[in-house]
Amino acid sequence: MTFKHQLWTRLVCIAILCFTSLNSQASDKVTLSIKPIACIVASIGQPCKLNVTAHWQAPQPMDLCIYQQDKLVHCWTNKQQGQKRFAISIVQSTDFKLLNSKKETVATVSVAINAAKPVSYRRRLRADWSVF
Amino acid sequence: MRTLFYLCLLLVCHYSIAQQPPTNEGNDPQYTQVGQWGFSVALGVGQKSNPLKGGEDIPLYFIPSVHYYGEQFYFDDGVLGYSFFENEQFTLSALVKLNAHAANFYRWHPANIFIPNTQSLGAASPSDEGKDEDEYEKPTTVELEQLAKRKWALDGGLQLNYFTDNNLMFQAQWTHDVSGVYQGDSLSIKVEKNISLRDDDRLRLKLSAGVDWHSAKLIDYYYGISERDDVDGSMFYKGKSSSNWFASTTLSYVMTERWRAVLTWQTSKLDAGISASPLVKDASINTSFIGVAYDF
Repeated sequence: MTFKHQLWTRLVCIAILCFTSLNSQASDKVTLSIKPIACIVASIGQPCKLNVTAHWQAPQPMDLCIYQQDKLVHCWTNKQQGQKRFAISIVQSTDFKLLNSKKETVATVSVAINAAKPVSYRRRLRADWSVF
Repeated sequence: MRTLFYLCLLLVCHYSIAQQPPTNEGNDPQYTQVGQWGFSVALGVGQKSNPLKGGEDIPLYFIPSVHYYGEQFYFDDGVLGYSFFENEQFTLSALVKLNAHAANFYRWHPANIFIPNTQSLGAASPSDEGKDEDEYEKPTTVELEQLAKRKWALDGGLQLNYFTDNNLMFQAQWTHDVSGVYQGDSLSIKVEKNISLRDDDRLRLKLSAGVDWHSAKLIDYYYGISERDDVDGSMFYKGKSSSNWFASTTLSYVMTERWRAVLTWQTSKLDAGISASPLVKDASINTSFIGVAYDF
């Protein structure tokens, strides 16, 4: 085996090791996704009602519960992944959290509220005289 | 009176140089959120004088305020308008509002509730300028009960507002009687300055001054005396067109998010032409109020 071949073999091995290591780090984390991730209302302040689907995945079986802000939505016991569809009504951007059995937050996703018509302001054209 | 106006104008110009433009529309009381109703009430003590003989002064204890602004439509304390052109500096609007003159004849006229400008009184033709009040021959007095009913009138017209970058506003307004009551016109020019007296913007001063011109038809309908009234012919009075100066100042202090303390004063000078009417006893109208205001 020439020196050139040895060098290429070593580089390929290093690359495989690095990829495996990165992949291992990523899979150590619990991943949570919520769909849809945003809600559109006509104007800020109006409530948004929609059905969302939460999906999570963990590297090993875990006891996890999902919360809407501080309100419990659903729990899973000794699962490596889970999915739950539920209805929500929100008036502002809201966090959804996965908590483990020690009440530690292991993943968070926010569902945003966006207004189709953003808040706008106008100068007041007051009556000619007013205490206001 | 004119000296006072020029003093106000001087103060306005001085502060217009020193002031900076507002940086946050949401916190600026000169702005309001589009699409939201605004309700406020002021509680306190005050009075609006009535220039008519036999007319009672209006006590002020409770002053409501209502406004709504759409993208173009708006309602603000009795004024219904539609702004068909608006940019950072100019707003051109069409509007309708109740004529404030009838307020002197009716206690519960909206002009005595929302307290818009009492500027509108006055009668003197351009040829009367320079005449003293004493130059008019003043007939003997007439009781209000002898008068024919002065109807409420609805005015419609155009208003142009010009805003500078430093809280200074110029306003020109033309209105015509669209209700067919007096069939006259009015023109108004006003300058208004809002001044923040503290860095935290809690203490604000609003100064305004201007002049109103009213056609002879308007003045004659409300302050003239003729065959329609149950009085002797020797007391008949023909109203003339007039120009009246006015000035006002309002001091407000923001105590909390919803409570403010307010102190306000306004004066309007009645020209000799109107003060010569047998109906009128005072040559000026003064309004003052001190109290607290709550924003809902």
